[in-house]
Amino acid sequence: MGIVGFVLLILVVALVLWFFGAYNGLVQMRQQVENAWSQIDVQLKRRHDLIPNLVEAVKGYLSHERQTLENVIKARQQAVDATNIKDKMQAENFLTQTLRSLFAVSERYPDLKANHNVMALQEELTSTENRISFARQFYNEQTMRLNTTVESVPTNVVAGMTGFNKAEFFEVDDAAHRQAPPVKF
Amino acid sequence: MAFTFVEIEEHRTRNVLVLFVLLGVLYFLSIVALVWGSRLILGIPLRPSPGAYGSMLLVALLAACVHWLFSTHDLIGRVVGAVMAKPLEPGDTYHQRLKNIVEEVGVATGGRYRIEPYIMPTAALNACAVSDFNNRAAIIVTEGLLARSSRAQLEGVVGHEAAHIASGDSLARSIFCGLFGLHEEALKRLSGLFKGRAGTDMLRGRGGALVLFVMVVLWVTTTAKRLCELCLSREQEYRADAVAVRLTRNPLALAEALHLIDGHWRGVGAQGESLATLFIVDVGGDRLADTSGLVADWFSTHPPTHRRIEALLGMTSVSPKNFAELMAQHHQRPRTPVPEPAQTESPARWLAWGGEEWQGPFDLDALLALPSFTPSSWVRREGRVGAQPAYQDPPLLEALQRRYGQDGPVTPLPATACPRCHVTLTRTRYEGVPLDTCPACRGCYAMPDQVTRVLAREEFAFPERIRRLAALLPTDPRTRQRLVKTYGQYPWARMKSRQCPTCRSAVVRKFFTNAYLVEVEQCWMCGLTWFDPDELELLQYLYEQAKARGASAFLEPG
Repeated sequence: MGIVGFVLLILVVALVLWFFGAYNGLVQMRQQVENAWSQIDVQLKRRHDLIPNLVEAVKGYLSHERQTLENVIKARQQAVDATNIKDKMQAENFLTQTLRSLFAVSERYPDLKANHNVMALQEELTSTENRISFARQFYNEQTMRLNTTVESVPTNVVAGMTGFNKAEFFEVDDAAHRQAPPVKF
Repeated sequence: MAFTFVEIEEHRTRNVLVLFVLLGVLYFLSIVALVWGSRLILGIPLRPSPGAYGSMLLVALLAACVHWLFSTHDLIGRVVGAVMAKPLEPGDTYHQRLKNIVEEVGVATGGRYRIEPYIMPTAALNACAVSDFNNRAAIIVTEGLLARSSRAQLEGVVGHEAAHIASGDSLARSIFCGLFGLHEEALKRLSGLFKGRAGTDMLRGRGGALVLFVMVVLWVTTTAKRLCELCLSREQEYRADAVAVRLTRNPLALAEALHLIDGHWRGVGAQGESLATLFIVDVGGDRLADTSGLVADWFSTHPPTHRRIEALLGMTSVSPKNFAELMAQHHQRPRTPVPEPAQTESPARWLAWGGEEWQGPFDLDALLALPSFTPSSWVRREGRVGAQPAYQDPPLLEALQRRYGQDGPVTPLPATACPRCHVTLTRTRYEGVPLDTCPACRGCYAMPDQVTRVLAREEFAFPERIRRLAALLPTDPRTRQRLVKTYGQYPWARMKSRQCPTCRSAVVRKFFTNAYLVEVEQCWMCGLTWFDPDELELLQYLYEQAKARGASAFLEPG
């Protein structure tokens, strides 16, 4: 084998090693995206479990707000029943809106604030909302990493050959949630 | 600049090795100086050889390894112990909020770090983060900050600390404090022993080597601390603020939190100054922290807080003038009135258990006239289901106490009974703190750290009767001094006959603290205190009045 053959062999070995490295990187990123999505699922489940307790605790006080409570229950059921990611996103966004209107309505009932159980449930639900929001941020960051790698040259070749696709972002319908402050330092 | 936790993880700096190298170099220099110095003093000619330097380098590396292993062992536990932080109490609503926020931030980091929340039982306002090599971390918040900040403000503070944890700043700073900060105070105290004549005698005697060793370690420690502080960039604080804003999307809340912390007492005990780099705002010992310029940039670890607030306000539509008005409103926020206890119906009649069936109903006099009726007789109110011994029913107990007077039969108390009414205590919350309270007289038991929490919080307004009670207390310093001398000096002379329900030790009647003349019954050993009705609120009122007057006497019970 001449020197040219030797160099070619080294190049081929380097290319194969790079291919394996890029493929493993993509697999790792896809696992991280799946893990991030499961984190969202855990928090959504937590929210679904909390809502019936909250509705039970406040319905004695909010007898005149039956429609609001029914909306919350309906939205929760839709979110539980949703099967694919797109339906789930829509149902969860709707549930967030109905919960927000429930909190707004409950502000008008000072007796609610004196009830420790209701306040504790509200704190838990606020915490769960934050967890969902943070889990969604984390999921979107991981998704962005994967999508950037899948679309960038030369890793897009590896992704194309091995069947890696772009992941879907968890988007928010609510304009207030979209508006992030410009971070300048 | 990395703003998200994923980006931070990618750009995480691993400058811990630099600390080890610095430690080794400093030990090497000090050993060389010691060897040369002792040779010069003893008149031995200096013959530097590579072998000698190699030996000195080995000794220095060995010393650095021992120092490193000793200092980084159980880092979180040692820092938590140094600032006297405690785990959260389940059931405390404020603590639950902190726990939730820390868990939320844990979600934002993708669950990479096991972050544990801790609380510092002090009225000061500050927070810090500490982490170790095993991705374990702790966020420590003072009771004062927890009490005075809103949820959004606390989210900003915890987000800031989480940014330090994720970026690795916290690990480097924790190791830095473990290597130098935690020993500095102890070494300074030890070196103080060698000053004066006793020190000179020791130097001449056999303790000379020990003195020299302590001095060398102290020199290494303080020099390394100064050098490391030079390396700690003020940028890290700005970056952590930016990450917190990116996470919470609420720059105004973080600006408010910084303003709150900056405007209050930030000291966190004797170890605070040596651990200052861990805290969100400087603990107050560094004069340079509030100034700008090259010297301050080099030698101070924290940027001026007003600069950080300006940067945060730049991300909002709030001008500095409006911000000042907002904060003034925050300080004067209305406090909710204390919820009055639910009035129990005054039943006219009771049923008494006759051994086989319920008898009655009887009114109070008829019940007391029954020959078989004793304090232990089972009774139930007419129209209710639950039965209880007669001594647990407040009106009956009162009538029985009237009947038997001081010579009446002594009923053995259950562990959770009111020492006044003998009624079983119930768990209630005051200022978010779970307290065992008597449903009849409203007196309550509280541990010293629970009292600290109550004093730090300002949720409820004081009823008029508390103000009137406070006005009855003597204000003349001579009278107060006489009272303290008479009743406060020898509390054991006023020992009560009953025992502490927790540890069975003796209970004494004493002033909770001599600064405020509120008399309580306190366990001699564990500090469990019984507050009669209104006494806890009175103590809280007096404490707040003293704070409003600017009195320096901060109450730190326990």
